[in-house]
Amino acid sequence: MVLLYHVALGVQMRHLGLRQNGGVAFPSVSGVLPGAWLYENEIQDQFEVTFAGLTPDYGGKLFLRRDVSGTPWGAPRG
Amino acid sequence: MAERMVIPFGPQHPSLVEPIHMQLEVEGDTVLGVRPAFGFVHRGLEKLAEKRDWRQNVYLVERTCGICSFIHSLGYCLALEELLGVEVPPRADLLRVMWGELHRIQSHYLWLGLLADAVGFESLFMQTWRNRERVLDLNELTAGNRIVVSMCRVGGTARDLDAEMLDRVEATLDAAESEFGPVEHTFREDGGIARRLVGLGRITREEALGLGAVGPVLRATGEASDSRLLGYAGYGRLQVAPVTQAGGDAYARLLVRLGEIRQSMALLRQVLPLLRQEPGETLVPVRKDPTAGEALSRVEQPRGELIYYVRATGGKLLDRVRIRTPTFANLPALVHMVPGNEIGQVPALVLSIDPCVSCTER
Repeated sequence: MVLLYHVALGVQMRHLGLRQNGGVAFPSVSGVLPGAWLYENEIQDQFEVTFAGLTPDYGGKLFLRRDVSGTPWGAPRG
Repeated sequence: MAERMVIPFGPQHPSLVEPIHMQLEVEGDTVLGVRPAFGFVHRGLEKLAEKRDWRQNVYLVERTCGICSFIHSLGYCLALEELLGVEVPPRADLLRVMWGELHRIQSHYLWLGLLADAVGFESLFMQTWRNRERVLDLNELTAGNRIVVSMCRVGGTARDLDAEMLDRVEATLDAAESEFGPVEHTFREDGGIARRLVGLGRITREEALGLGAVGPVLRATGEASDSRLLGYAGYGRLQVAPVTQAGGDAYARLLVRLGEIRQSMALLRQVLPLLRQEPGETLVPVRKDPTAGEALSRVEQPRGELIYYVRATGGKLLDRVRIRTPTFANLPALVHMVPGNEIGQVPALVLSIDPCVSCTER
């Protein structure tokens, strides 16, 4: 699977793609960009994707109720 | 020593127009930590956009937000136009600026009214929303609808405005501009408003950048960041200077929004003569489906930068539509601001980022 990062500062923007095998955690960028915790937690909530080193990590229950199991979108395509 | 406890804030709260939930860990009156929870108005719009024809999605995405709907459809259309290689007529670009700025003015008026209401200034709240009605009347006059104007199409705009209509827009703008003066003066000079907001939720420019803040939250820290500088639609032909403040607090955010109402009116003053001088078509028919590829657009909503990412594999259906809304981008900054404040300050603090939860959850 591929995770796309779009990073902007002012009018400048960079696009990066990180390819990873299924079942392997992506490295979190929340240690570098503190605001990334929300994006990575949302991806964890919706897809079968996890992030290593994510802070804070809501364990897939930021947008979902605590009694919900699984991820609504399943594994991402591609 | 006061006992530590957790107090739920929202999802239903008198100061919240839309549902958002925060568990506030408090000691006495002071908030020590916050754990947010979302998902109360999630509609699955990104998934829905994969199930509809790319043309139908214009109507879908503009319902992402009930306040700045036009700018959502604009962001989506810009991404699709890049994917399709469509060049939009210059007149349509100017009309897009016009409806975009009308949406910015009415959205900021909406927020100003909510702020006045939150600080107990009822007459100011009513005056502000009375002024907003005039802008909504302009939407209705030019588009037939007050909020969801449905004027953007892939390839241009659905309608053109004739000279008589432009005269009426200008006359209404004259009145709206003169009515804004007393409201702006009150917001700037009233001591009660300043006492509630000065110093509240202060963040530095470096913190705001690291937390990914956008729009007035970022510009209130002194960062001159505004997606309109990219020159999308007709903005490349206009004078756009980001409105900034250095305070970094809720009061600075108020001043930025007041300045942006003036700025939007000035942009309308630039656009109307160009629309008079430059007749032409407003829509290029697009009859082909997008081929495989991806595109990204960045537009400036009243709350900050809005991003649309679309990926096509060929055919009528899109493979992925990702919407990054400005309130979503501002939530990490909000969560950062809350600790250290008193419980009673939290509603005004949440309000200060102008949250749009429907946008955020999509």
